[in-house]
Amino acid sequence: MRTVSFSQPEVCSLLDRDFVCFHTSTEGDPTAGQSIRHSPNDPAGTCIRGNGPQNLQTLFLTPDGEIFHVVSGFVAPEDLVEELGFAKNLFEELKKDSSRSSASNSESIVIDSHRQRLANFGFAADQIDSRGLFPGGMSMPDMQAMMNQAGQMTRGNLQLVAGQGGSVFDSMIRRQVLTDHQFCMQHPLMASETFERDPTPLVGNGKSFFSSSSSGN
Amino acid sequence: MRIWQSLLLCVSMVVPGAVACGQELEQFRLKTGEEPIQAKPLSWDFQAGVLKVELANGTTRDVATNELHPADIRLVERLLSKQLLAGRKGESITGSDFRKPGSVANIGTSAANGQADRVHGVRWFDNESQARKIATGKDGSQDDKPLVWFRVLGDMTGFM
Repeated sequence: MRTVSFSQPEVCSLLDRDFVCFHTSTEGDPTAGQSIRHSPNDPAGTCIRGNGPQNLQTLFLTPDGEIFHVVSGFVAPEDLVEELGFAKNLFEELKKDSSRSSASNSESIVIDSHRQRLANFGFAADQIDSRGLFPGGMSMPDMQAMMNQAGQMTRGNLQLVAGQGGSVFDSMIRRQVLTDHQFCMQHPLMASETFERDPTPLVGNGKSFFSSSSSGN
Repeated sequence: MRIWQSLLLCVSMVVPGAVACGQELEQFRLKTGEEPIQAKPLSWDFQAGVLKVELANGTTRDVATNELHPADIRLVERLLSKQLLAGRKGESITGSDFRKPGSVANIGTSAANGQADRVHGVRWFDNESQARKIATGKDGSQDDKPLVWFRVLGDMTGFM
């Protein structure tokens, strides 16, 4: 992420202008995944959206620390620009509700925004409201499919989400996008402290492994 | 496995044989229950899992990295990371440098308050409270801003 996505000028410009950024390490967190360690200058390898959902999450918070959007796993620069735009717009909507007289109203704004976005991506109502997904983890068939198809995609994947591609690869991306948005709908404006204490509603209890290398291995 | 081989090759190209360090002593905690070691890291053998350190009395000691406290393993990793980067830029490294935020040479410079690194021109705080203070405009800025929280296995300036 820091090599591929957080280094892109458009992403940096948006982050610097519209957001305040911080990072924390999940090292020692029992819900964290595993990873081959990469130094900052390691060449980036092939990734698809959502790779390593337990290893990294990009969360968007109000200044009071309420989570209103999340993106789990790797996200390519093109998609990150879109996510930043979505987050900025949603935050502006929340600010318009300036009185914050009703927490439920703010929560409704979050829920409605995520619901609308999923609908725009082509998800049906029953999918949007579905339960029983397995957050964070990736099934072995999915993992095998990812390994088999690695190298075919390295760039933005939101087009696939919108286009409802038919491969297992596409369905993995769609599932991760759905999982992230559903988390925000089911836990609107969750306090960051609450999430830090128990991130399993988003990342689950499984174990994912993240690796990226320029050799493609 | 290939990435480790590449990394080791990189190490050998930049700092043949060893990761050279500066003059500062660092404290290394051990899982064995021994007193922490005050020492200067000399080299790190990835494959053998051994960190060679120079003690305050000038003698050297090999420490198995799996005996080190996890936080100190991170310390060593940051040293290696910085050493690799600085080696490419022809800079010298001191042992104390890699404790400081933003010490990785081509990542950025520390912000004035010492709480944030600049990574590709973006200021990244290493804690939420400081970021929230800025985001709420309590630092004198005019407007609220949303926060981006990058929660990651690793950090922005060392190994990830």
